[in-house]
Amino acid sequence: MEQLIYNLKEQIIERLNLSDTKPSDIDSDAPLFGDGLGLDSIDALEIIVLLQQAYGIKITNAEEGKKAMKSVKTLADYITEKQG
Amino acid sequence: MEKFITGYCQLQNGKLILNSKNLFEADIPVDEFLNKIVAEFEVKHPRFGKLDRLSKLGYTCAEILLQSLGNFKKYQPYEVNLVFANSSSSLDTDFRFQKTIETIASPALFVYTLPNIMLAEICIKNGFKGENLFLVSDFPEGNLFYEPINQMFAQQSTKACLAGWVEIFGEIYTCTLFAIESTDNKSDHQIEFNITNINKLFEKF
Repeated sequence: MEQLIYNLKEQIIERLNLSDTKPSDIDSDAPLFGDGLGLDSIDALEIIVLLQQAYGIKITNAEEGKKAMKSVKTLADYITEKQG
Repeated sequence: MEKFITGYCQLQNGKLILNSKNLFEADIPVDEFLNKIVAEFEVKHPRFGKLDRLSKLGYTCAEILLQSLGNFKKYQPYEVNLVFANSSSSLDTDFRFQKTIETIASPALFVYTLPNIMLAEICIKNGFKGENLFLVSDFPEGNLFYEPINQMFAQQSTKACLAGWVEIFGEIYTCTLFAIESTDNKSDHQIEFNITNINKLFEKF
């Protein structure tokens, strides 16, 4: 799980061009949107594309996606559950 | 009141020039060049890395120019207009977006497949709410800018305008932005707003 969380942080940084951010700067439990990492709706779409390209996971249910994208930790849990 | 070009800023061939003064020079790729200027001149943007290259170029040049024109802050939001132009629109980003279509299209790149987004970035940062116009033309020419800007100033709401040419494709880039204000106050860099003087700015490089 720790490795998956680290990989996700690296992928989010690369995909969203967070050039001044390092994986260690991202709190795994902090909100991705709003006060935490401060991502926006376009970033949410990029994360959906990331899940599809890197993990073969398609989010088809909006509510499910909302819960999965609360934080890096919830994203990792979601991927683990879907791949399990 | 007469209209004057009250300042200009240029970025090209690794040089940053503000009102004839060479402020920075580095023979490095354009992305690195812009990052260095952003760091050196404290150009603020919450997510600079997220912008496309056209927006980075125009935004950086606009911020350096506006930093030198502190008096722009005196204008009300609807008093400042923007008139920008180039020859390839957002083609640099369009090509990057096209590559992503081969797999899954990138939403973040898609939003930059219009040059107007660069104007939006500048307006959001500075609170400008006046008219803005983006023109596509083969070459930067004075008459391309002169008429629309004159028409804008003919409306009483317009007090200032930020205008110029912002072009980037691959490693080839050029940006000349200038400010036009209707003012009675003379400044050191102030020149009359006319076609000849706009063309002189474009010829400086």
